[in-house]
Amino acid sequence: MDRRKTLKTLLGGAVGTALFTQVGCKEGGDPVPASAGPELETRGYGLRTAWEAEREERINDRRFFSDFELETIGVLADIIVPAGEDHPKATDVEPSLLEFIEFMAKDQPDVYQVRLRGGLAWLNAESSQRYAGKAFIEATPEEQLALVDDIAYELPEEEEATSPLRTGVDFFDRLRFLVVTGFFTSREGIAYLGYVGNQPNVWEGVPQDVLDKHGVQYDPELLPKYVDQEQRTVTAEWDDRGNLIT
Amino acid sequence: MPIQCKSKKNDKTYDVVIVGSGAGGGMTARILAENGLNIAIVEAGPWFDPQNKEEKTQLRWPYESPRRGASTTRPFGDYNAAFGGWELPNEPYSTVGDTRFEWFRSRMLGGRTNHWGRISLRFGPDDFHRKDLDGLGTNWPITYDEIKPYYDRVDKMIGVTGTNEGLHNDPDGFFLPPPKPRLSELMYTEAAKKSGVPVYPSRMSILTKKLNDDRGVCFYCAQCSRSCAVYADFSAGSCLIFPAQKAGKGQVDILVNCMAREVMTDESGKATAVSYVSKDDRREYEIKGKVIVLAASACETARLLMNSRMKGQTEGLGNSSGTLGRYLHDSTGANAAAFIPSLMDRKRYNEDGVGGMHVYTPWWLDNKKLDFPRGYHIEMGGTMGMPMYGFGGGHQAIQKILNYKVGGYGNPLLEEMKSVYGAVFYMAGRGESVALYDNYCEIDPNSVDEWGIPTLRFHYNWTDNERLQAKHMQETFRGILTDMGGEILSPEYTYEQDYGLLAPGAIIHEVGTARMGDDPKDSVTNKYGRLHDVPNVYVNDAGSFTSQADKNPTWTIMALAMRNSEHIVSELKKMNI
Repeated sequence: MDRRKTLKTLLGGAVGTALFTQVGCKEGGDPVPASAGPELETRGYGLRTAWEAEREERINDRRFFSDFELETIGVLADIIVPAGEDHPKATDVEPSLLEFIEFMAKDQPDVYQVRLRGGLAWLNAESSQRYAGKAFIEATPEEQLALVDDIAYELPEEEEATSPLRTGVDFFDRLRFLVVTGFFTSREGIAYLGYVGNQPNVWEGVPQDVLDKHGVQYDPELLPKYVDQEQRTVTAEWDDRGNLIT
Repeated sequence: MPIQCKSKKNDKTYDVVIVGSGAGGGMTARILAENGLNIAIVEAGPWFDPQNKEEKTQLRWPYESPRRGASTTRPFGDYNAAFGGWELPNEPYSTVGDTRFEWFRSRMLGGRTNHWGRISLRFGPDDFHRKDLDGLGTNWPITYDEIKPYYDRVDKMIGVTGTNEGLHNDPDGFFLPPPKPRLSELMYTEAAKKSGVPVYPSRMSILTKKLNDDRGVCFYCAQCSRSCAVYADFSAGSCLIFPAQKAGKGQVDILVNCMAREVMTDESGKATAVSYVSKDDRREYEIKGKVIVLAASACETARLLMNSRMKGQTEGLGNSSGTLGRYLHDSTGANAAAFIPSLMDRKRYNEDGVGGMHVYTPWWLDNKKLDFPRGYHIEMGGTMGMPMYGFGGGHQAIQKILNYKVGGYGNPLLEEMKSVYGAVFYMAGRGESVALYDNYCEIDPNSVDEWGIPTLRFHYNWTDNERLQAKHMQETFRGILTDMGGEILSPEYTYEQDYGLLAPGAIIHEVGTARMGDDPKDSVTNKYGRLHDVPNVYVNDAGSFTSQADKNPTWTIMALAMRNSEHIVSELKKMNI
């Protein structure tokens, strides 16, 4: 991972940049507290209430992970989502996956903060003990993978309560979720998955080859009742008994 | 554009002041405006028009949101068009003891209609007199035949897909043509029929065909919950409020960010005005009307009445019967999901479709032969939908089913996830509960919200009527999902776990808090939604429902609001108000 790029992305993006016009204070300094009610300028993903916008401003005004922690997350993220034939590695997708993880740690602090920060500390302690004092990012790629292999799989039930690895397994599970969900909701992840919707179109039903493959078909009796897409722009009219006549 | 609390001191007396701009308030506004009345709408939240580019969330990608659409501040995700949720900052509510109720509120023009499921089922003949059939609850003071003409008009005014099937309690209407089912819905249809469970094209208020010049036609993005920018789905703003403004007959003033506090009454006991707090300056104002229509949602309307004082009444306005806030009931809800191995490695194509299901199952059995009194309908789905926050979160359960090693990383894991995309199918039951005197909301004497308005306290318990219905849902769902070749992902619930029944309020169909009836001693309004105690106050939301059916309430809210509003017009003409 390009360390400089990661930090630049984070510092230039989410951290320290006021993205909102001032809220909670009207022109002229009248200190009317903002509430869930009045609307505010949009940030670019649809209308946010003042409460939501203020909250997001607070999130973006501070930073949770240290550079060292973020760099470690970046190395792990690229192990979870390495480059493939048809997709880039985690730290190369757009928008930044690390920025998303930093945001979520502050957006849902109870879910993420202690688990991720504590897990990173556990990981470095484990790495240090195994590999002569080296932090996880200082270990060789082989050493890193050996450690990851130990925490990347669910523990057998009988070991769950007592295994010394359980903190690591729990941490990796949580981080893997964020990396995977962040990847599949990025431009490149969506393309890799093959989701082709989210655009105006006309639904014509399931393609015939798909019907054939799955051994299902449309009921011929119902076919005339379904929308005739050729007539969709003709204004609906009914007879007195509710039969559509256009 | 709206008047945003500009009228600080407004001496005008409107024909009608409406509180709330959702399904009930919106329909009231439209009917009254079309009849040339001068009206004002008091709305607690901001203006909202999904056509406004800045405001719209439709067609945005997950990565445009910094949380990838997670539900941190909105329970149905970042792009859901209902601002609010079961918790609102600085507007608390409470519950009595260990009873449960979850109260969903959306403060904005159009209210909760901006995000609802658009499943639009009119009540049937049986639904208006359940007491005659099973001895429980109370009959409505009106029959299906009385309200049928209004349902027909709502169908034609708003638009709803469906087919005329001649079903006794799921009546025919004036339907737009439904879309063809998706792949998993065809598989569901086959499996359901094996169990004798019927499946019909779904009834959704989505324009699959042109209805009028003011609204566009569905372009199949599956995002009705984001409120449609071309107005191809039903939201109260786009289908009722804006047309009311355009009607050009009466005056329509809309006061947004104005939180109603109480209904003011004079010495004679007639209502004169609504008192509200402006969220912009936190000062108190009054707006005067000859008639006051409450359509703030069942519980908010009850709260408003309870917080209103009238000479000689201590328990709130219109509450001489003591039933205000009582008989609160929500639809029941229980769900199950399965992984369908035959849907692995699907061919990719755009199957977004309309927002929600293309087929549905109405209640199909006779409760006389069952151990619970009321029915439920089935909603379902499973598609190659847009990945959002949460994607991949359930993968380990699928790994277990497939006997894969649980966990992992790297390209093999990504390939696994790609392979099972679109292979999970869910079923959900939405049923009728029995209205009970002991399920209620009341004013909590110890709490106010940030506007200084006393808040609500809820007392609500499910009974075996609902638990045994949920048990039947679970058994039915597991049978059909298994017949689809599915491996069940959901836990098996016990009696102690209410068979997976969701908390009261979770389905957001709460009704009944100001129920209608012929007898003023055990109901709050008459059959036109008019308070028995106060002749010029009407309840035009689901508060007036005598009972919920195994249907969604929106179509009935609108049919009743239409009927009540025409009654108001006629009463004003006759000088009876």
